[in-house]
Amino acid sequence: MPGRITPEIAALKGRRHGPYRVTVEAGAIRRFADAIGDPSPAYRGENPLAPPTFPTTFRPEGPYPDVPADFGDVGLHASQAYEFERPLRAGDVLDVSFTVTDVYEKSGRSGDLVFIERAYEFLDAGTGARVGGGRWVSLRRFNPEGWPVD
Amino acid sequence: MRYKAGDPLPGLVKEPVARVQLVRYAGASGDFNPIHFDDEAARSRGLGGVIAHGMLSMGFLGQFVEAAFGPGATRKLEVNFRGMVKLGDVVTCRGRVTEVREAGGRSLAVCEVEAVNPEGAVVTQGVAEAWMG
Repeated sequence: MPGRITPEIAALKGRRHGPYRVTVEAGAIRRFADAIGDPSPAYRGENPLAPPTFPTTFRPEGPYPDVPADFGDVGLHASQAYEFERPLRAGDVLDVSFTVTDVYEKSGRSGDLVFIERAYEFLDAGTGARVGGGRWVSLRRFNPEGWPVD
Repeated sequence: MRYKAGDPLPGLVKEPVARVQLVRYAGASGDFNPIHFDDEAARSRGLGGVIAHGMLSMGFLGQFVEAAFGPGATRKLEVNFRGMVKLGDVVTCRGRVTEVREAGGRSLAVCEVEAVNPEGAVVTQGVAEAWMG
């Protein structure tokens, strides 16, 4: 095993962040659809739906309470999932939380890799009903040989 | 939209990825990692130059799924990021229905989806579930 996981990183497992409150706003949806280059009128106007990857905007205020920025040489995204009980739309007020569900490492072709998995939950702030959730797996790469690697 | 198992979904060919798109996506998503807009920062981390946010390619797949099934039809979208999208890349989204399931009186299409770069390499790949009616 590469041995890159420090006690501080190992201690992230099981940690829960939030809930923090997020209001889904029409302007934010429109700018998000614009950035993707998605022309659908469903994401525009006064009462738009949110595109399925919109929850990536559900960030806590301030720095991300997670892996330190200087851990590893580069942070990359391994996988991402969202699922919905119903479509999100402007006006939704959600309580968002996430839990670090796993921390593990692998030795790869391009160096040592540390993976961090998180599970998300989106609850309706008014009723407490579950609206959706997600899974986010990021990785930090360590390359002892120096750059470039590929 | 109605599809049956085995049906291909209508393909989506995106405009070439431009730096201004990555800046807009950074602002709209809140992901300000400089490897997505600053060549120097990207090179210092061993990349040839700026790369697109993985989530942008997932966003393309979200557009592709909702164009095929209708806005708000997505029940689930899960992807693995397998390659990097570079500036100027034209990303093509494609997929097909692998299964149609009945759930709570509604039909749910399970689909394989992927985003492909100009060299034909799959950069982002996964599964989508979308409601049909």
